[in-house]
Amino acid sequence: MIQGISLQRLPCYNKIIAVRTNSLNLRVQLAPRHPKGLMLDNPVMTASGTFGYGTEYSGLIDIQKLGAIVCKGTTLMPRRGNPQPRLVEIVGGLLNSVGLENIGVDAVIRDKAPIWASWRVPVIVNIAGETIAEYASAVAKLEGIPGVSGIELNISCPNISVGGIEFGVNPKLAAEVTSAVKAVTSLPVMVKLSPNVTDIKEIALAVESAGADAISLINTVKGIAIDISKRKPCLGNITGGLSGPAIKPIALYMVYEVAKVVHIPLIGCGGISCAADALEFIMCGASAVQVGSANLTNPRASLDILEGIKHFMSDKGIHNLADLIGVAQV
Amino acid sequence: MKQSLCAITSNVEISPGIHLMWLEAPDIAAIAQPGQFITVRCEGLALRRPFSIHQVVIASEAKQSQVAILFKVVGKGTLWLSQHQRGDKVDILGLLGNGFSVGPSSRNLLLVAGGIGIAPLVFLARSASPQHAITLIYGASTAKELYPFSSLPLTLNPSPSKGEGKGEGEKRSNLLSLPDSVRFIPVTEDGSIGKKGMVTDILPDFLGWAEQVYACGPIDMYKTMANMSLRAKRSNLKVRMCQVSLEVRMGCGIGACYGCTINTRKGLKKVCHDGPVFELDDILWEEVSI
Repeated sequence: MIQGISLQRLPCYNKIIAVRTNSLNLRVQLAPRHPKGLMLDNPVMTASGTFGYGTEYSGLIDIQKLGAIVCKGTTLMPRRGNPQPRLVEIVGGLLNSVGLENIGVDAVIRDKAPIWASWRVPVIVNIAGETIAEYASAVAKLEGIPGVSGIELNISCPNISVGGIEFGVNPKLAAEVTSAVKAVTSLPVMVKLSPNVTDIKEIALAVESAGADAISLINTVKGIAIDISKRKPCLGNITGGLSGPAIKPIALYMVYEVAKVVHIPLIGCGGISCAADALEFIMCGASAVQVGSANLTNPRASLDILEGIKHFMSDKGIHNLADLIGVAQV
Repeated sequence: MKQSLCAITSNVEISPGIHLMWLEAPDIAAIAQPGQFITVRCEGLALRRPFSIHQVVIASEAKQSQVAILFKVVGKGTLWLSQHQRGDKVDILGLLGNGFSVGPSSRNLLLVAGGIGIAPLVFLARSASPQHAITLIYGASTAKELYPFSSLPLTLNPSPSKGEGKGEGEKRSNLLSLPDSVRFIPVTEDGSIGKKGMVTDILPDFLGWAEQVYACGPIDMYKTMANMSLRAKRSNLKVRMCQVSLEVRMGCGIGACYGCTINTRKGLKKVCHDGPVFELDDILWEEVSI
């Protein structure tokens, strides 16, 4: 292979071509207003919950080529998750009700972070909780841990101390959890927004004001599926979160809308399965993207998407990825 | 573990709705153990479909080594796969999971197959060493649904209708024979061949003989066996050291997504990564609704 030229089968285009990639600048700063910043080599990240702790995929693909890895949703204490079945395939995607089964933050620090510390690819720890204190305690434990490059807050959890209202559907609660976490960490914090709201712009502005360094959007869309032979819901937890290509236009719309009102970087997520999908998000205003369900269908999806973005840039004579961010805003 | 495009070398419908597919997969063939599996990406579907390894052929030219999967067309994924033919390439992820294990001192192995659950047990039967005595109890609803082993009397096979002679020839050349040492006991619900009833009806007759039991079949079969095992604890007739292969809906297949987690007596286990083979007694069957 000639230096700087890679041959690949491109996603969304079924032809093999040579791409000159060594002159491209795909670097992206995800936390410009944070003292340390969070610079990624490229904009392709993996979405929480679909990529484990990264270790599971390390023997399968070259994970060090990714922009960043967002690990499995992590809580202060281990969680057992929901009963089976946890997955239902639907047209254009997937409903899941895993229920945040995870090993807990202490085990992450003990067993996973030391491995991450030897990696070139930054790992962002996704944190979930049921009270503000839980979020803050879990994030505080990660302070100064080598191998952890940032925090992503999953605010789609019900707040049990205020009657189970999801943090992510209430601007005040979303802001409270964001500022509580910001107060206990020196790491960059991105907040992952729920799409199950009336006005996502309001939540985005609230977390921006509360100090979020970046916003990732969207989390899964609430859904249900019925097993007509058993005459009951398919999922053990009755309802679940919808992901996959079916939610892409929703996610894209939300990125498009939020990009108009906030001044911190956005990370687009929702049904991205090829480079063209990722580029749509970037053109709507996302500085980076997260690939989720597509990892299950094709473990190479994220890397294929990265190569496809490079090809597009090379093909169109675009040297800086930044020149594409938000260009489709009208 | 590797993701690769593998060429289909043959795809034969060996009995109505049941396909035997051979794939050129040298890396998988070289290391596969009975009970392990691969996943196949099916066009337009979010979830890859898991298939246990049914058989392996190591070719003298290593690159041509093949694995076979055996599947029943039950939904979109298996329908899509069943329509592919020799020369087509499919996206395979493997080798995945942990297979069956045979204890060093075990001699008498009882294999219990329900329906398409025969798939990994043929591989196990053929992998056993000459020192093992194997009994295979194999149940299906009717004779036509039994895997038509080539060494069995022709009456076991659906007779070829006129004009299908060539197809039948291809079928037979693809079929496997069981080693002579395997004692084969068919059971059918309609009694069209072998004993009439369910495999679990005759299972107790063999429990005194078997040193290890290996099962693959529907969940209800496992539940019956688990009840038998509980009852047997009060007698001397126990389903001893029984390993079962579980199938639940899987996401990633590599232990990353937690989509297939089940609760066991040994804690939460990911079927794809910690299984799919588990000890019968470790599964909390009352919680299993898969």
